[in-house]
Amino acid sequence: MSQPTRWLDDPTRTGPEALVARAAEVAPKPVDLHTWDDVLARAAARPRGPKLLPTFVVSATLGVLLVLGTRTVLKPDAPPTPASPVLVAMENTRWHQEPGDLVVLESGKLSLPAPTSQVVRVRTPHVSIEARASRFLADVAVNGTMVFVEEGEVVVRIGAQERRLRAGESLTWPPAPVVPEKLLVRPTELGCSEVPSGERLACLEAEAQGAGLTAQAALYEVGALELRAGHHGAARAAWQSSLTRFGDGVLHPEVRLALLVELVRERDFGAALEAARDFERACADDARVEDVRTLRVALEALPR
Amino acid sequence: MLSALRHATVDVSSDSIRSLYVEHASALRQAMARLAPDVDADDLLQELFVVVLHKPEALARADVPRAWLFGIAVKLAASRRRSVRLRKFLGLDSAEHVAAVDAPSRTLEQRDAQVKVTRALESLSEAKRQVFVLFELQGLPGEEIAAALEIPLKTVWTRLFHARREVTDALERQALIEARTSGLPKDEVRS
Repeated sequence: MSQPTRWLDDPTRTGPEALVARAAEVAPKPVDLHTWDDVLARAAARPRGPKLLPTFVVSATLGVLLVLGTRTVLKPDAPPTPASPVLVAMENTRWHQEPGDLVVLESGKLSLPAPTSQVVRVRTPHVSIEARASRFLADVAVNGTMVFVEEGEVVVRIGAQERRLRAGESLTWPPAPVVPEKLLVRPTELGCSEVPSGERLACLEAEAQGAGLTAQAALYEVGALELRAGHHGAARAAWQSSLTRFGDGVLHPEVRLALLVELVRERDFGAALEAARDFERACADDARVEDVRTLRVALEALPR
Repeated sequence: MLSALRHATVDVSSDSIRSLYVEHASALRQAMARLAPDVDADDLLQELFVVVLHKPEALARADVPRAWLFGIAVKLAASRRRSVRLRKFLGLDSAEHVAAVDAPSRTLEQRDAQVKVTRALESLSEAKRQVFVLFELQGLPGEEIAAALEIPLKTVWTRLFHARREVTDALERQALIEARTSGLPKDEVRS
């Protein structure tokens, strides 16, 4: 296969191609060559020191420092030392420190913004994290822990298992159960299909105010449309409203399934379990009840 | 003895690496800014050459040093882009400082085109965006892109084909939206 002609070199280019060519014409600004010294200095300082060390005073205990992201000044138990690893915790994060420099993160978000030569150990209700010469983020919610590695390598232990995450990789534990294919929400065009896409939501919301099948279809579609736009809360609200108003309407199995799948995706496993049980009760004769049962069993098996 | 040997190796490497810095730094910085517009390209450039200084043996093995450098640039940009987005999502960071990476001679039309193309690139997958930026905007030949991304040349062209189509669609959509809001004809908005 021969090399295609770059749009910049194509004399017949028009429209978008010309626009891309114009952007490509822009020459780079020369780099100040004195900055090479900065590169050498940075390379020599590996592992890098805590250059992101916040300016505010921190709560220092044995060897690991924890900093509140809100810049609340805590009275220090001991003066911070430059060699101490710094963990930054956001407001409302619940943590404490145990002997051996182990930080126990109960809930909330915490990050190690600068690599350190010391080993940093963090335990959450779901995993244990061990990091050296790396940067990472940990986010603990009721239903799981997310670890994202920004630089270096981090070891994540889950019981007897061990996972090594490299820069750019993330892990959420426990993983959400796989939703069976048959339960996934299919793209629909229920109602207001003639109006321009930008006005469709308003049209559907107006139709949903009515009664009967048109309103049921519109309310279901409002949820689907909000979901496609990334408005998860609004999607759930539309479907919940649908179940309140039309609990045994024609579309109630579809609405229940859409809500169930969304709750699983949002990792709201407790509510998803309730939604699955609810579907099994309300739609016992539905062809998809076996798949919902499978999903419910997977949800019940998740660690509490 | 061993430490002296190590010292000598680093010195020799850093000289040749400095030459690479002189030759390619500005293009690499611009490429990384195009791949990760929310990220501080100056910082990425330094990070890139720190990696190079710590891996002189890998540089020695590279067939085309420029392609190898762009390969690291692409990986760094992708990783930092993900990181910045996640940090913003988690509310841990505000926006990074964005360095000026383009020549001061840039015209208003070129700046406008860059804004639109950057917006269009947002809708592409990471893999397609990388190929598109390296080929269309940076002007790297296909063979070097294949070496940089460690993929077959055929894959480069396949990704470019799809990326071009998606960028065209995204730019058309932008023009349409702009035309609707401004009341001007679509062609006039685009040009």
